[in-house]
Amino acid sequence: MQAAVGVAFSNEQLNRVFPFYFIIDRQLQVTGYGQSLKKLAGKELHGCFNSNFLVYRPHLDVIDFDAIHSLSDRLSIIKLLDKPDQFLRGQFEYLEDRDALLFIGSPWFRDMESVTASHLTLRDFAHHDPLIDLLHVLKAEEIVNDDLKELLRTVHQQKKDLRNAAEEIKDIALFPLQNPDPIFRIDFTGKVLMSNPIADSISYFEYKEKHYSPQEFWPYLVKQIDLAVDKWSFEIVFEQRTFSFICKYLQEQNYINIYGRDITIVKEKEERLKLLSRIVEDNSAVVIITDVEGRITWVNKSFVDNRGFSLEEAIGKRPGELMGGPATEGESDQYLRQQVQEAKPFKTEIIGYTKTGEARWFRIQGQPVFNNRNQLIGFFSLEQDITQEKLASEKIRQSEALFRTVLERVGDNVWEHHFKLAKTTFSKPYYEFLGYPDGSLVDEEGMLWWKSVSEEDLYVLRSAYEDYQSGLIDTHSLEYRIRRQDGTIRWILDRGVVIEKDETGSPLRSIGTHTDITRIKQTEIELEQRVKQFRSLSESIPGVIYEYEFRADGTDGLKYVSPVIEKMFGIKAEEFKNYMSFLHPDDRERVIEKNRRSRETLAPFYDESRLVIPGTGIRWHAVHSSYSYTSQTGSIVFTGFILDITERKMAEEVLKANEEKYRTIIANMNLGLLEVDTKGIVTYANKGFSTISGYSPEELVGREAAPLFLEQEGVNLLNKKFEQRRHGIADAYLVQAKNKNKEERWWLISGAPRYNDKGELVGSVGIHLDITEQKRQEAELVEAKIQAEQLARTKEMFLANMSHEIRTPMNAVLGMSNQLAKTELDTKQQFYLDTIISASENLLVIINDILDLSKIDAGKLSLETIGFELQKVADRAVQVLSLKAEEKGLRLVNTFFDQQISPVLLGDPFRLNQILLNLIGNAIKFTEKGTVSLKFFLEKDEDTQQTIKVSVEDTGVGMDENYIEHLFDKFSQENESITRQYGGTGLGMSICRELVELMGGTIGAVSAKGKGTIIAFTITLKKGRVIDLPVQQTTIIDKRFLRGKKILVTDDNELNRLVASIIIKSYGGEITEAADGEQALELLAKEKFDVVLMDIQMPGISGLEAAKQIRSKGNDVAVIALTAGAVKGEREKCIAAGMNDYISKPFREHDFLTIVNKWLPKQEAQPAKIVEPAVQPLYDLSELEMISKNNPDFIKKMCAIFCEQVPPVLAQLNKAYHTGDLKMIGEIAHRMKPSLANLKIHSLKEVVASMEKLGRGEINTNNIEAFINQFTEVLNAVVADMKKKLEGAAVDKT
Amino acid sequence: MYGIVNKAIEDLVISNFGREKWEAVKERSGVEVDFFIGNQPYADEVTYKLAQAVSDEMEMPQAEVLQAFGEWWVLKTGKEKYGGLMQAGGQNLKEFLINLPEFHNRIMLIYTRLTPPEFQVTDIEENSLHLHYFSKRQGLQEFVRGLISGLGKMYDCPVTIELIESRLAGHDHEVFKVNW
Repeated sequence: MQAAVGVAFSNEQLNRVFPFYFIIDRQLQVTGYGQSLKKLAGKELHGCFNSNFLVYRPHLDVIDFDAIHSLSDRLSIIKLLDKPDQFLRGQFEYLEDRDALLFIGSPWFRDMESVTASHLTLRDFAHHDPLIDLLHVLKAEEIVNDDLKELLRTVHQQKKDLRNAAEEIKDIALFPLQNPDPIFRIDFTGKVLMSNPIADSISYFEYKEKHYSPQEFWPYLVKQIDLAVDKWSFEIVFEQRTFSFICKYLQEQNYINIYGRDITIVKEKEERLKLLSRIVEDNSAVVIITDVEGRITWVNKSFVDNRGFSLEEAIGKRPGELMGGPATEGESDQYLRQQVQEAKPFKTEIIGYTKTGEARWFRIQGQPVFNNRNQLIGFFSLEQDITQEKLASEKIRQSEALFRTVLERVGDNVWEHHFKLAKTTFSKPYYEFLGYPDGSLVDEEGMLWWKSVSEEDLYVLRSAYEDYQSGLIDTHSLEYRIRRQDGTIRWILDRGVVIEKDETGSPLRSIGTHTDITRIKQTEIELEQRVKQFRSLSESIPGVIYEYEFRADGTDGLKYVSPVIEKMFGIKAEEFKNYMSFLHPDDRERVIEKNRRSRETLAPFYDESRLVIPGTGIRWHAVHSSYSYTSQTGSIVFTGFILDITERKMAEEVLKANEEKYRTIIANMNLGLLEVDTKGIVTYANKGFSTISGYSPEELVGREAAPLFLEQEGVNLLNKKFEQRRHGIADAYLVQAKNKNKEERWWLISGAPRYNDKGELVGSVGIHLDITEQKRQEAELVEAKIQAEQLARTKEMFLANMSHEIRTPMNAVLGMSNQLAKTELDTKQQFYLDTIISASENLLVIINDILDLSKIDAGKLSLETIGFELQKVADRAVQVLSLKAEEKGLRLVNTFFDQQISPVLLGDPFRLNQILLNLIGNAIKFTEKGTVSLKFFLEKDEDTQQTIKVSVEDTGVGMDENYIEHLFDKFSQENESITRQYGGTGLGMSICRELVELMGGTIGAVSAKGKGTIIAFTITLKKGRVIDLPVQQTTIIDKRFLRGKKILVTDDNELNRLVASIIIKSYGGEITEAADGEQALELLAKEKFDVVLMDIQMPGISGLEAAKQIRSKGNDVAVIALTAGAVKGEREKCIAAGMNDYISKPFREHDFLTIVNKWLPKQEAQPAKIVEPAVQPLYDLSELEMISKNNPDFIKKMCAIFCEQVPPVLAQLNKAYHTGDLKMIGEIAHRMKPSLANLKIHSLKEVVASMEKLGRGEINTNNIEAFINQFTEVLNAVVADMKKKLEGAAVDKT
Repeated sequence: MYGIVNKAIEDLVISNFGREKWEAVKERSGVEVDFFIGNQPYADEVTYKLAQAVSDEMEMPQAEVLQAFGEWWVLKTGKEKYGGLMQAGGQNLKEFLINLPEFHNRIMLIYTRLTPPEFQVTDIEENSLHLHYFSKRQGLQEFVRGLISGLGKMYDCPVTIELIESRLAGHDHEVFKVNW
């Protein structure tokens, strides 16, 4: 019994088991549904069943609760209204408790893709729902179907392939491509449809003796083919091969197969057979063919002709029957019969008979003939009539026997060699050759001779033998050694000749002789050795061996010259045979003459002559020869040798020349030669000594030499010298001697010991030279030198003193001028002062020049190489001298300055200035009226340098041509009156020339008396750039840099003290003065100073002495020398004395301050920046006064404008400086320039110029800060002062 | 195994190395089957021989061959032939892996002559889970590894796979920890 089971699902369970369920109530409202249905519908399901679903199957007429209820026992298919084609498959169940209908089912999908398209996954289906699995199975089926379809396709393809393969196989059977014979398939137009590889290789067809290409051939052939005939064949030739083709017409297939076969071999065989038949038929030899029995079956034409029997007569007979006869029978006949019987080949010679009965010799050669089954079918034989040959060989045999007999008598031994048997037989004496007594030896092998041949020579025989065998030679003549039985060696001459050959030309037999040539050979060898000895000798001796022959026909020449000649003279022996061409032309005639004499008298020949060797020059050679022999041809042969005597000759030449030279020297120098013995007795005196001494040689020989000429002192000296000679010492010395007239003479004697040929001292020899005159000159020279040195010292002293005397006042002039320059001066005064300063400085340079004159003389003056502006140098020179010119009423102008001249050049502007001043000064001096003009021409312009010509032209007195030559000499003036009239040192032009030459230039003058002079110099200078110009040191603004500094000025010259004091005071320094060294030392002992300035030349304690004392007291105060002495070495003296530095007077203020600053004790790190003090007035209104004609209102107004103008300008400048705008700085300077000039603010003149240059990039920016500061400070000061004055003026007014 | 597996190996070799190589592989393997039919079962030996031959022919370790084949199985065979089915397996990698056991259980029913492996999923975390692999067959663990990495690629979700238990190490089945 089955218990009733009531199951109630919770919503959750329902949802899990039937995730696509829905419930509708009686009003058809959807009251519940599964989660997966919601996912499928893509929305919440609300309201009525009808608005969400449609009952698709079974069909319902009316949709209401009962109608749907009625579906409970049916499969219901419900359609989702919003999802077309989306069906639910399931069933309705009535839920009694709720009076509702429950739909249980799941969606129906046709494939998996629709599932995923509905965004459902496995999880959305109940586990028991097999839908997915169903779809999976469907999918698998689908895949399998695809597989099966593919399999079918494969099978189908394979079937198709099989069918094709079968076709192909059939075709290949018909048309085998691998067939080694050619096959073609053509259609009826002759087009080749198929061909196998061998067929393709046939590139042409030779058909009926014509060539066709494959393209031509087949169309041609196809026309010939008779299609009615089943098979049709033809032949072609290709590359010497013959092909036979058979054409097979295949009607069904509509083509022709053509099968070919290579029949070349068959063809060849056919041809050969034909040929053979013809050969046999036409052969001159007799051919006989017999059957097995030996009966003739066929004979050729020769047989008929030769034997006289016709073919018919011969057939059926045996050859023996037909041609046998009395002489036939014998060994040969027997042999033939036996061979035939045994069916073997045969070869023999036999006598047979012709039809006419004539006996003849035949050579028979034959063989049995077999058929394919190897059965004997008959014989084939060739017969040759050799009757003539037989007769000939008999003759040969006879003559040979004769020949042998002869040979045996001629040679020592006769041999005969059989090549085939390789056997040699010898006639009797052969055994004697080898030392075997007759009959004692049997040489069966015939090899004894070969064995006796010495091993070294065996090859000779062997090679000849091989040559014979290979047919290279027919005769031979050999020399070799054999060893006799007793071991002695004999030389053999072996000669032979081939006397018989076979039909191929190979030797069969040769005969020859052996001759014993031992004695000849020995002689020959000895001779050869001699020749070798001679050659080696002649080649190793340092001379050339030669033979000279005078021939019977009257000619002569070198027969032999040893090769040494080449080593000796570089001439090949062969070339030298034409020796006459090498002989020096001057020597030829003599040699020819000597040759003639030798030929006539057979007297030995000797000559020394020159050879002219191309490329080497002249060489001397000595030639000796003597008569040697007369040759068979009647030539007289002289043998001799040649030696190279060039060196000897050269030495002789030199010796000769030297002798000549010394002879001349001794004669010309009047050298006296005196020889004395060991006791000092004269043994020889030459003529020269007689002249020197006044004694004749006769008077001298035998007398003691020394007392004759010398005082006691000299005698002592001479004794000492004798002593030295005894020790082998030679030397030269000077003595004062007296000649015969008792005159004092100076003799220079060169003495040497004298030895006899045993090497014993026998005395001495002296060569005497009278040098009295030289002695006198020497003394004079010494005197002159002393005087000259004294003079030079005096000059130097004079110059030093003069320099000092001028420098001292010059220091004051320059110093004071500089101080004056700082005061307020009007334009004219400024001009005058500038000129004073400039002239003073030039004067200083001139003084220095005078001092440096010695330097110039010694080439020690050095020039500066700095950048300078030539135009400025020119202007300055004109400026300095214009006043002087004006005074004389002359015009001084720089009339020409070539603008191509580089603005900056590198050189020494001071020296150039000096030259210009000198030349212009001179011109002005010698010109009374007219013009002095200065011109600068550019002579040559190169990349890096320029050559400039400077000329100074005047309209003055001019000079004589003679004088111009000496114009540039020192201390030179045309005449004394000129000196009186014009003054001057006469040094100027000389210095100019020295300086110009030092600059590498030239100077010259052109002048005409009374018309004027042009002096021009040309120098080459390197081109420079603006940055090469020395930066002008401007400035020390710090007026206080000496404030609080105590400076001791020591100088005996009050003016100098004054100059130094003024300068130092103006910079705030405190001055203490001392008039000499003593005072200075006293002051230093009491007070402490920062710097001591010390003159050198002072009365009492000099500067140097004072310095030494200061240092000795341990005082380390800075001591700076002030000296007017510009003498060389002064500086070193100062430093040695303990001074710190050195200033030469006169000095420039700037230099002076720089050095003082350098030695100031430094309390703080102060840059050594020196700025000139602004002692001169800040500004000057005189210009404005002049312009305005002293209108005070105008001046005030201008000043006020200036005061307003300055601050913005300074601000702008400051900005430009900070932004690095150099151009702007330049512009500001340029803009302010007129105002500054009007107000005469001179202190800014150079600064403004520099700022302008800065703006143009012409100078570097090193000093830019100083420029800006100075510009700002000065202008601020000017404005402040002006304002003060303007206010004052205003107050004044009010 | 069903022919579809061997066919997949064939496709893999042909697609990547050409038909000649496949012929060489087949020659080397000694397998004389011309055509694999998807729903026909073939001896497991055939599949092993093919895999070994691929490994020998390509000079690749067998493990690499199996991994490549696993990826190929998912990305080519699965995706091309059972595209919808694969997609229905889950919306993402995690979901797919969780469904994997049921997926295989259903397959077992569909392919009656198939002895598919059984999978279990445990330790499900936000970014990892443990995949247990039970199979009667030996030596296909690297194929499973390839399958997982192929799935990672299919869902464009890089994975790392750790083999944390293995029959070779004495366990009774393989456990892969899959991280993504």
